[in-house]
Amino acid sequence: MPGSLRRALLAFLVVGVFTPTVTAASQGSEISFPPVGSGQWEGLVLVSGFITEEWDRSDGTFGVSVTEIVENSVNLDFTVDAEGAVTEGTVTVRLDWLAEDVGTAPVSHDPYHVVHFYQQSGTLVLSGTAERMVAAGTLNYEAYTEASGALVEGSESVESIDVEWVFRGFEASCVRVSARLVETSANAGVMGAARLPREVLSGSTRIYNEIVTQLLTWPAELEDPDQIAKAITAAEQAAKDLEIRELPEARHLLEVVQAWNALNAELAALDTCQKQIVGWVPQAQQSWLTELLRAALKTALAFDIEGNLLNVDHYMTTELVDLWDAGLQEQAIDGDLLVRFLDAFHIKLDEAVAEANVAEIIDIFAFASRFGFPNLYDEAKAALEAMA
Amino acid sequence: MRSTIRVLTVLVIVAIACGDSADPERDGGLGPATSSGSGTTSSPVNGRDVAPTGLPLIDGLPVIDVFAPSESDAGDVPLFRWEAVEGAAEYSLAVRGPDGPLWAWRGTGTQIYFGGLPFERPPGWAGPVMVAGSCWSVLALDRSGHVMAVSELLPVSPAESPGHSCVPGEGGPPGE
Repeated sequence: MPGSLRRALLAFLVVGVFTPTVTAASQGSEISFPPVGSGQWEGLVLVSGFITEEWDRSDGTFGVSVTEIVENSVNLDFTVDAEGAVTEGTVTVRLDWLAEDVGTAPVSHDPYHVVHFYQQSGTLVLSGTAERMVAAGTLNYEAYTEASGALVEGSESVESIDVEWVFRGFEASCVRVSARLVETSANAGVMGAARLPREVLSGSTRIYNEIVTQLLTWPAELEDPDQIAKAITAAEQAAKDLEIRELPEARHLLEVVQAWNALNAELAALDTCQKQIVGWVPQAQQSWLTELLRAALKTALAFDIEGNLLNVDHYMTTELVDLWDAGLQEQAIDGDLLVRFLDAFHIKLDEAVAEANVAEIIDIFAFASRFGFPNLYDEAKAALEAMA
Repeated sequence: MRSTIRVLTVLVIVAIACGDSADPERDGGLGPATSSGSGTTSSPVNGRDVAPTGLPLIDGLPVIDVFAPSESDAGDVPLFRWEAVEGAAEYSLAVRGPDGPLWAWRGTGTQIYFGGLPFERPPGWAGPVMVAGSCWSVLALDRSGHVMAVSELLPVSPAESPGHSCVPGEGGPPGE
């Protein structure tokens, strides 16, 4: 079916078969752009899916046409003024779709296979409010047809068409306004077809519409509240300071924990809108903190190439216990670290016994006693009893 | 008449406060931790039995009296409370779960909620939760970080528990 007839059919279907209805937003709830950021917004219109048309003729011939979206790039840029109105709005359009027709021709009953390619491109002007946004203007409309792999002579066409797309907002939050396509002008191409009902049954013609469209917009520039930005910077700096330490101590780990707690306290103090603007902050997640502390502990208890603990002589027993407690507080002690700590405490116990350092032996005994490490417990207990 | 009622009310309040103070040593105020003896410890706050005794972590060191939580029905985020130890620079609290070390805390206070918040965790806040069959203990540390007093190793579970034992030196992760 030639491109011009295709467009006419779609227009007929849009105008003659389907009466666009306005999709109401939540009844009673106001849809408006929230006053956030600099007033600059951006967005896109999602257009995807396909339409299937089938028809049977009284002479026994038939046809099937599948129209499918191939390329969808519809981008919005606009400003929202103090009254919530869209100003300086543009919609940059690039829509490609194809319609593949197969069937048998009337009278001759000859089989046919034709593919029509369509493209709409250009820039429209966007205006209105979040309740009702209108994209209007002139687009280039190109179409060409291939029949059984060969370009049908004279089937190419390029023209300028005036289009109008109307979107009604149905959802507004601090950082997003969503809208549905509710009206289109005639000759709107695939956007007009998208407004068809899901199923149209008209005589011997059956249309099944699986095209979906949705407009999404969001503030173009949003800065985190100042106190959040500062808290994130402080947490990141504490993390960097810890990462470069060759011999981290418990107080260095606790400095990161303190900065992390301060960041989470700031995030908890945000109101609902601010929380949405700030969004997800990786540095505030427990996993970020846990991995950081775990890496620092593995640096402290690093092995040499022979598998011996490299730095154990640098730490006193109480400092090892401090590191253990700081790590365990934030669930950073994994199986690997547990083994390293036990190796370190066994070494320290041997040293304490050799030096008859009762205080250190008691520290190790208490550690083994409360955390349930029987070998270390038995050795420390035996050492204390020997000194008693 | 009103003044009489007021005086009687004050006398009743004083009587209730004095009635909970059953331990004469505790009445002497802060001092070295004393042995809690056998049996359960009564809370001076609400009079209910809490924190049953367990086995001492280290024989021969002063024992820290603990007030909360109870062995069972401690909740997911229990509050740990214990008596102050004279001369302690810091306290170390440790919780061991049935599968190994669960959580640790250091601080100068004598109470802390599980997870480390100084107040009860609000709904929806992330943090560790108590596991059934856990054991906990608290140490008092001197200025050098050495252990100077210890609590017993005490059982704790978030819900009703049939009872479990906490043996010092046992129950940690396998393989040690």
